[in-house]
Amino acid sequence: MKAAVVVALLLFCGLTIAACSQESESQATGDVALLAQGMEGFSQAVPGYEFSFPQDHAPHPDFRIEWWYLTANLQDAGGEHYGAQWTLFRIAMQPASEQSMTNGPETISQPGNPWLSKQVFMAHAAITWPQGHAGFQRYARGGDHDGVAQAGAQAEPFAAWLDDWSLHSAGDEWLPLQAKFREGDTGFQLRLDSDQALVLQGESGFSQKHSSGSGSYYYSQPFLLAEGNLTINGQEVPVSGQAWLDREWSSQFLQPGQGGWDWFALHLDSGEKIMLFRLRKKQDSASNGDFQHGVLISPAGVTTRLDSRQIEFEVLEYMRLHDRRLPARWRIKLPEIGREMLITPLLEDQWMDVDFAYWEGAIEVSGSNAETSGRGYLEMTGYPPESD
Amino acid sequence: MLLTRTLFSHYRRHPVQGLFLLTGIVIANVLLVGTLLINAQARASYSTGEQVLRAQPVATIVSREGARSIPERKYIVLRRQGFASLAPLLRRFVRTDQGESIELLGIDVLAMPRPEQEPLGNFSSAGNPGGADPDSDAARPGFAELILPPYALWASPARLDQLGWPQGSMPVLENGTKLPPVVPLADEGLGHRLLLDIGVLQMLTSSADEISEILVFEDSDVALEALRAQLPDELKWVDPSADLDPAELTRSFHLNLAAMGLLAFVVGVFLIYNALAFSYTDRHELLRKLRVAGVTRGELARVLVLELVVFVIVGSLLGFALGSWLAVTLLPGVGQTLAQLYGVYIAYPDSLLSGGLGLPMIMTAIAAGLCVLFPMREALNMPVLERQSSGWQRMTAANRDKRLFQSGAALLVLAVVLAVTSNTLWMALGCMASLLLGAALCLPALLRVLLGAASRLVPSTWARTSWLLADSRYLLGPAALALMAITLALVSNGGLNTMIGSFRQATDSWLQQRLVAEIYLTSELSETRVRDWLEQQAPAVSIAARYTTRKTVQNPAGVNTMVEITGLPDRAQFKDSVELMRKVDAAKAAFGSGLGVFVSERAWRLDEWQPGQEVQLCAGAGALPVLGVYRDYGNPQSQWMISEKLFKSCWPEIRPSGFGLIGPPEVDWDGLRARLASEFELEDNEVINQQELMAVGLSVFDRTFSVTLALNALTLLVSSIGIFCAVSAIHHHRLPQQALLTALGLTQRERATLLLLQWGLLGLFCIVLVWPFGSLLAWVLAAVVTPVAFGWSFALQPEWSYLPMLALLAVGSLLLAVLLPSLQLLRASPGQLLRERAV
Repeated sequence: MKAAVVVALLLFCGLTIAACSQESESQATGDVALLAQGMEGFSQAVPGYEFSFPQDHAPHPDFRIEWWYLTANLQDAGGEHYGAQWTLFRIAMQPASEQSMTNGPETISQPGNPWLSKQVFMAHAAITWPQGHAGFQRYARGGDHDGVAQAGAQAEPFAAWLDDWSLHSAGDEWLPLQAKFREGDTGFQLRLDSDQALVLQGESGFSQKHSSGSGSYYYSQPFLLAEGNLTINGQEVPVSGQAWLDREWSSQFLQPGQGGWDWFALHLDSGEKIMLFRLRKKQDSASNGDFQHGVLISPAGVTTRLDSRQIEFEVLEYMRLHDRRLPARWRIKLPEIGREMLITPLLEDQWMDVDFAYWEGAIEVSGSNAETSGRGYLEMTGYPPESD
Repeated sequence: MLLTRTLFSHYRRHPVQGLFLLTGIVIANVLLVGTLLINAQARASYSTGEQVLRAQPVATIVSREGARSIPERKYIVLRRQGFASLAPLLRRFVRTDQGESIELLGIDVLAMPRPEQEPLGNFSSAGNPGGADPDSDAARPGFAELILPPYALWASPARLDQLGWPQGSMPVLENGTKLPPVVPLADEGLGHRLLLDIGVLQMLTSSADEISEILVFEDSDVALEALRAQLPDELKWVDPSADLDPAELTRSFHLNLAAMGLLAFVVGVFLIYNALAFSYTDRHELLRKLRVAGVTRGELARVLVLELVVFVIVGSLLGFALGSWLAVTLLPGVGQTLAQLYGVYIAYPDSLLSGGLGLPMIMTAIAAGLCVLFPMREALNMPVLERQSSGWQRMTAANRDKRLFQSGAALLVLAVVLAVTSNTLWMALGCMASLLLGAALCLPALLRVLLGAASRLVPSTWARTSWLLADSRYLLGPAALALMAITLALVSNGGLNTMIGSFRQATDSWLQQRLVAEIYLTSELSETRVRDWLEQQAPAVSIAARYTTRKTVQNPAGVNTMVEITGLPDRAQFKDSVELMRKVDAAKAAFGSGLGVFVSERAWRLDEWQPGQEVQLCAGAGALPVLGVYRDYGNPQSQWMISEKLFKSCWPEIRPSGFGLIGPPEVDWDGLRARLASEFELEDNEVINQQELMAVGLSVFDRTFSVTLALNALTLLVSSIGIFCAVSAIHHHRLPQQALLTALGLTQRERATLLLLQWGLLGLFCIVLVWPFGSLLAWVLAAVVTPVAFGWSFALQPEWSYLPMLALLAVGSLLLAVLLPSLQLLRASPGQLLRERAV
């Protein structure tokens, strides 16, 4: 459950009709009202949805935004730590009902041309190693060209791809999965497996994002064990570790007044998993504070939900990256379940310098015991560049 | 300082004279600068190579089957295999409802590489047309507008101006299809091309599933090597170096442009001389007084040179500004010619061009220096103590004209020598320049002879006529240079018109001969399907396939060159359509049996393949002799023609790029065309009849020469302005003559008639001389310049129709120039006029 802001930015900048300036991030998060206007014609996420698998692994084109989001905390034989990210975003540029043109040349209204598909895909991939970080992006349209699509996703056998970047079932079953990407002399190839079930986030899979009740459909597979190779500047590094897959779709992630968010996915040494997010209100917003949510997932997959009042974030130290002031070290207190954790990035500069830039990286979790120590991934979006 | 002020004050009293000198310098510079900048801009475009949205492909992938499209699935499969530095491109030529032929490029904007620091997010959305702020990355319009209804057609603002398409309009094609709304896009190097989404273009042109080529962008060597290795058999890798170098291809064209600029420069130099001569003659008295007052010649010379330097600098700067503006205005026209003639594209800048001020200014300075030499020497060496007599002046004028005639005659001899021997473009252009200059230099002496002859024919009792002729000879002294300038412009105009007219006629009859099929199909149809259908529907009609490919070979001159190879269908009509200008014995029989090749005139003239020489066609065929040479107008590449059978045995994998349908005239061809279109779902532009193809061919021809004609007309126009200036100045000088006539009792009306008759006569005599020289120039262009520049030759058709136009223009501008100062003159009282003479 991540990167919603990123997608929101994409929507704002590229897909809405209003002009978007170079300070896209700040403006985008600064005026999300436009997002709300474009929702007509799309399906809305509402509580009470019955998930059904494997169908729900496939795209939901009636919803505006959707993603397949994989992060992995990995180690090589020498004990060095690495991070890996693979994400496929799907964005519906227009509702299906508007796909025939109204004001353009009549002759273009014939349906079926794969290039004219309104489903646009954007893929991000990144690797973090002890000395560095590299992130990449690609785009493609989702139409079917005589049996082949440049980008897309399907349920059975499961596959999500853009060009040769892919996440797909190794066999007929959903698990194990294969994830791979390659860009120049950087890439990875990971095999992901688990004997545990999927976890429905929020309220039976409906994840509220705003006090007004809007939200998304969201499920995760946080128990993946990963094994494979990273290729860093042409060097192959065999690695293994833990991975977390998020699936989320909605037509409306942000509400006016929400400016960005911080997202944590933690693998604790105790075998527990914790997901936390904080949707930050904009400074000039009149809305009543940040919207926070979390979940503790026991090794057996039992979830305990944490609401805004049960989560305390404290930024201990800031770092300056790409003209932005970003949190560098955090203290997180979850008094209800008696946890206090320090969060430190594996490497400060894990900035995703893509079109819609954000910080996404591997982190270290430290605390007094196995229930407050471990590894994880953090995403921070919506921190505007400061001009001075 | 006082001296400077005294001399400069002349221009304060006669501002028009300063203006005329400036005009001469500006005229010399404008077209020179314009053509230099156009050529520089084109060269810059060539050196960056063909770009799409500022991205530079390192190679392209095309179909191995020749000029056919690639199923887009193959591209998608390559992407899925991990070759991500690729982008699809669909090229379509269509005609608008205005009959304009335009090239549309269909791209997938999401696959295009983007310059660093220019994220997709900065593809800010619609409503930022033309790049309000070209320095800002945010000036790029949003990619969304390209791929979302109502879609968009991106074009450079200059191209849109040329097409006359306002922003937001939806241009209509010949077949009634509407294009997406037009969006101007500055600074993307679009040049002549129009960009839209590949899916939209597929829909508009019924080319679903087709792409023309795959662009390969920069990637690691390993990745590019892997791509080459894994390319499916049906696809072919094309290095950009394998293609013709556009700079080399278009060299002749740019040289011709430069020659035009130089011509205008020469015209300007004549006018500079003219203006300087007057300004000095006018100041003879002043200079004499200064000399008497003790100023040395050296001091005078220094100040006069300083004065000239100021004029040259100001005039050159003005000329540069105007020339730069002219270049920007003409570039789309040049781009159109380059696109249609050579298939190469240049970018149109969206701001004034800069750079290159040095060369025109140095040239102007040298020319002005040479111009001033004679008048200045004359002014400084003048006897200090006596006023010059008009007889002395006339003597010098007559001597000068004799010397000019000698130089002119020498140049004409040189032109003849060059015409016979020239085998390079430089020599051909030298021949042309010698002819033009020679003609101009001979003019005054020839006019003198003509006037002399006329005066001998006039009975001595016709006093006024005799006076008119005698005075006209006298007038030749000051007017000669101006007349030479206009003659130069008129000769080149007449020559070019004749040449282009002849060329057009030659092309027309050549097209009629070569277009033997009644209907042409350019679609990628199966030959068998069409043949089967024809057997059922129109048994009298048969089908002939067109095969072409390209190959890099070494020509006899030892240079690697790209030749186009085309197959000639094995049918009498096609074989008869090829007329050989040079051939070996039994050429056609040997050709039919596949025992040799024909080469195009260009291949013969420029690449030097002579009949009888052997060429390596393909591995299977071995060495084959050149059997003959045929004309191939309009093709900027050398071509070999072989029999269809030979072609198929050499390149069995290449499929036809089009078909021709032939049959007896009784066939209902229009009906057949309609049935073909509906049976095979052909677009209007995929099935063309003979007449339409002819019309297209000739319209391409006309457009090709539109820039040449425009430049030529401009030369004439600026010359007219120069003539106007020069004649006004001369006439102003001759006010005393008018005074004399008034004193002798001539009425205003009589004087006016005499004046107009006099100048009209001079103009008429000029035209009489322009015609033979113009025709001679046309011959040089047709028989000397074009063959070495393009490899085409054609017979000259004498052209008369433009002469009355030119005569009207010449006499008109002369008379207008005379009329204005005369109005003042006619109103003046004899007393006033006589007083002026006494000054």
